[in-house]
Amino acid sequence: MLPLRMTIGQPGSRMNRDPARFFLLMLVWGALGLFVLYPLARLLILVFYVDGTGSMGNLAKAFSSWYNRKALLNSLLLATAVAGFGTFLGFLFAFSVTRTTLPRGFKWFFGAVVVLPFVSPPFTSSIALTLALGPNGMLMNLLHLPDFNIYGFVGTWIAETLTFFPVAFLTLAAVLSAIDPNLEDAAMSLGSSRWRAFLTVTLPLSTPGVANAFLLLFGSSLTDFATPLVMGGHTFPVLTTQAYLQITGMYDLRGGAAISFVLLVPALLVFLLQRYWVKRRSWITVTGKSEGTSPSRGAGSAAEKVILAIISAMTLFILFLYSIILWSSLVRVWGVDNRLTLENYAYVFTVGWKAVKDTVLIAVTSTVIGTVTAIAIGTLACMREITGRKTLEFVSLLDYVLPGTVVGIAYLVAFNTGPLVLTGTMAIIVALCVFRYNATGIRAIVSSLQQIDPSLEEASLGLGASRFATFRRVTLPLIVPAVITGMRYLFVVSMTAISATIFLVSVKWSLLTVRILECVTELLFAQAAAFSVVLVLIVFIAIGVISLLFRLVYPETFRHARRS
Amino acid sequence: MAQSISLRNLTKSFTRGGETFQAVDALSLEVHAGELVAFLGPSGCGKTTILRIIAGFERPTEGQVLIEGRDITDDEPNKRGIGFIFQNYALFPHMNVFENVAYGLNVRRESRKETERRVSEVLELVGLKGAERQFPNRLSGGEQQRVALARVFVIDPKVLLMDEPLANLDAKLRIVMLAEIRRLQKRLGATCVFVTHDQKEALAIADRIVVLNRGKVEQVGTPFQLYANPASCFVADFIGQANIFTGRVVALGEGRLEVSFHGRRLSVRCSPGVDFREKTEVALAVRPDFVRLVRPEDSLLSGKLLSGVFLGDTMEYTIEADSGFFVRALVPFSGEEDVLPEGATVGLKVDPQDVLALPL
Repeated sequence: MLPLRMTIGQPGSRMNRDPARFFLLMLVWGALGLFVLYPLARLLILVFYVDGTGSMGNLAKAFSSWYNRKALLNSLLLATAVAGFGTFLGFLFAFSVTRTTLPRGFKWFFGAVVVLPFVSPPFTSSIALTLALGPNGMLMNLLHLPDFNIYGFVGTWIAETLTFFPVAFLTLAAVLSAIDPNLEDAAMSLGSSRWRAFLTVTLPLSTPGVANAFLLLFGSSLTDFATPLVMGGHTFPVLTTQAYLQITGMYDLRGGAAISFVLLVPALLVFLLQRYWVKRRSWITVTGKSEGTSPSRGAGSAAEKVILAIISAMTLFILFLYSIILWSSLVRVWGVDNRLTLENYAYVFTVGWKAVKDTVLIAVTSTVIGTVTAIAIGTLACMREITGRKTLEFVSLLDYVLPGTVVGIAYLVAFNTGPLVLTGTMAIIVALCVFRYNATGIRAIVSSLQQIDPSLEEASLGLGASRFATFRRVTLPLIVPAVITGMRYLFVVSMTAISATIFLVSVKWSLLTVRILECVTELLFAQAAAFSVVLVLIVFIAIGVISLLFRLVYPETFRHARRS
Repeated sequence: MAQSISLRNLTKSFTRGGETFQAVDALSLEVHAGELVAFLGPSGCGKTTILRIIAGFERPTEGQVLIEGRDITDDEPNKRGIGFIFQNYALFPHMNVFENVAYGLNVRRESRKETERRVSEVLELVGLKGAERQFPNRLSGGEQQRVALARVFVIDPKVLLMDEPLANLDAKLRIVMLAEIRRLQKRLGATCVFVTHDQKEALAIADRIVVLNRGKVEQVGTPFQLYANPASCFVADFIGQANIFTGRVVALGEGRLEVSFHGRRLSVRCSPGVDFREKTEVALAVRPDFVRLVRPEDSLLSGKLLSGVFLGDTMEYTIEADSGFFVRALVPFSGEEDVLPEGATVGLKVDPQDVLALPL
């Protein structure tokens, strides 16, 4: 019998009467122990355990180098700059989508363009920026800027902002649309101008959301690996790239681990701030009562024009960068020989075919296993009579909170030697994808389960359905949207992730993102662009297939969704 | 001084999914200075839209809004000096009671001393003295309502608009707040428009009621006028209840009609200002409380009692008349022994004076 969220709490006794659930719980804890806690423990031991005693020696050694100290400073500086600019842009986009009188088509278009970076490999904006503003770049020749150097802080900053500001956009769009437009109307009818209503009502109410977006972006930039590796150059080292180079360049696992460890402090701080400060300061409570019929007031025509100008320019810039990727994948040598060719795609499907195949196989396997795991963990975490269910949820989200570099190194440390050796296998990559990226799915499933009225399940049981039938026919269809969200995310990141997986690829199992990185470091930009285009296409197809599959299996869920 | 409101040819259309929908349809209306007018109608009749247009939150597709003769159709909401009470109160969740109420004064750059004096005065008025430091989410529904009223009263608006202000309160509190709102409105001396879908609220509070249906005015009048002389079946059934039957006009008279009804000739009342023509079908409205149940032999019209529902002070009976139509009757409750059993045959009596002819 499958587990069911219990509404009538009968601690202990229930548990024993349901051995299947007990077995499942043990299985989940076993997997979490092996793939989450064990690698982290091995990492801790490696860094802090020297010659039989605890020691800070490795950390001290890593930061005795001025270059590493500079990397730490750079990381913090970059994260602040990216978070600041990205939150600003995200706010403008979110405001224009939720609070202006723009036609709906425009809003949809802005929203659609902005989320492009979500489904792209992490290098996309870096490659496009290089092709546009790098040496021999298209804009460089157009604007006659021969001395401009895109590599370093500026390039990394722009590329990361482009990659991460959609996160701020989505966060803030949700926050702004949850603010009752009546509040702004009330402010205005009490005599406020639009600007004053914005300053005294809209802005204070969205402050927790702004803080949240800032923290999310700060964390993303801090732990980002792909962009600084391509755009940073020698002059702008950051912690993630330093940790990687220490391990792959100098074969110093301990030193790399120590460097990556420093990332943990700010990353955890961001997480804690988000969880305990932002949440407590949230004014907006989702009441479920939507005032959907009242159109938003708009920002005033002058302000609206300024906002529209900025976001149009940004949108065009993003589209421009993406068309550069597409275009450069279709020409012989970018900027030199602009004749059209399919050579680069031929390269992808011959030399690069193995990476394509491996990546899809790994992503599909991870998505399937990860979804089942997410449903299991999500339902277990919602069962009141299970002791330690909060801990279970926390542990399952741990790898997601930690920087990818740290998790990647931890896996490398744990499964290279010791009782379980997985180095060079597909299993290690799949395990990492599952336990690092099903967090979104788990959180979606948990919140979705919490919203289901317990009386629905009670009604089903009362009508004579077994617990399993109730789970399958009532609970599951209701959480399908959450499951799909999780699946989609899992597939996309399994396809596009690199910060953790780069430590785990081998001759036998390669990934598309790693191939793209190799192309970039060998200056094969056209091939890199072709790989990126193929990757984006696969992701779009997969998202379509996942939705279609669920539509066929659970038509009732979508009927319901359409109506509401 | 209170100010009058004129709506001229007001139209608001929405386009949704390619279909154009008239929320407000060429509506003209006068609200006199100092008057409390209730907009009454079913949901979707356009009453809230009209209110939001007067407040300036929405622009009409056509037509004008005039306050004291001045066209304000294109003015921003903050230039209108109109107080608005929202259905969900729209209290600023990040400000405490004092800050919420002081908001309008701060915008007007009142001195701090004056602000404190006036806020404390108005909080006293609504009975919320001492709650200054509370946040809205800590208050009960009734208290939130009082804060919303205080926040508007403090700026002394000449026009006060209320959008279903009592919808989120429970039945008992609703009666208390209704009286409270009436008291405060009189004290403020503002012209007031009160939107509701509840006929009892409208009857209890309004000087005049505007009955709205599908974006148009069905009838305007005092509560007594509307109850006694509804101009349409819609109004007859929306204000109070009504049995509606169909008859045929036989002859016209002064304020009266001769109608035939199931083979009988009746002389019935007709609403002033409604035109009828001979030999046309006409609606006959009878309030359930005017239907009397008698012994079958005492009446020419009899029927079978289908059900009786105990409502406390009255019994509501449903009767199927022998001629095939259904009648509702409200009878004062006089003890369990007087309750008529289901299936009983009863006679029906209605004074023709209580039958009102209406256009079908």
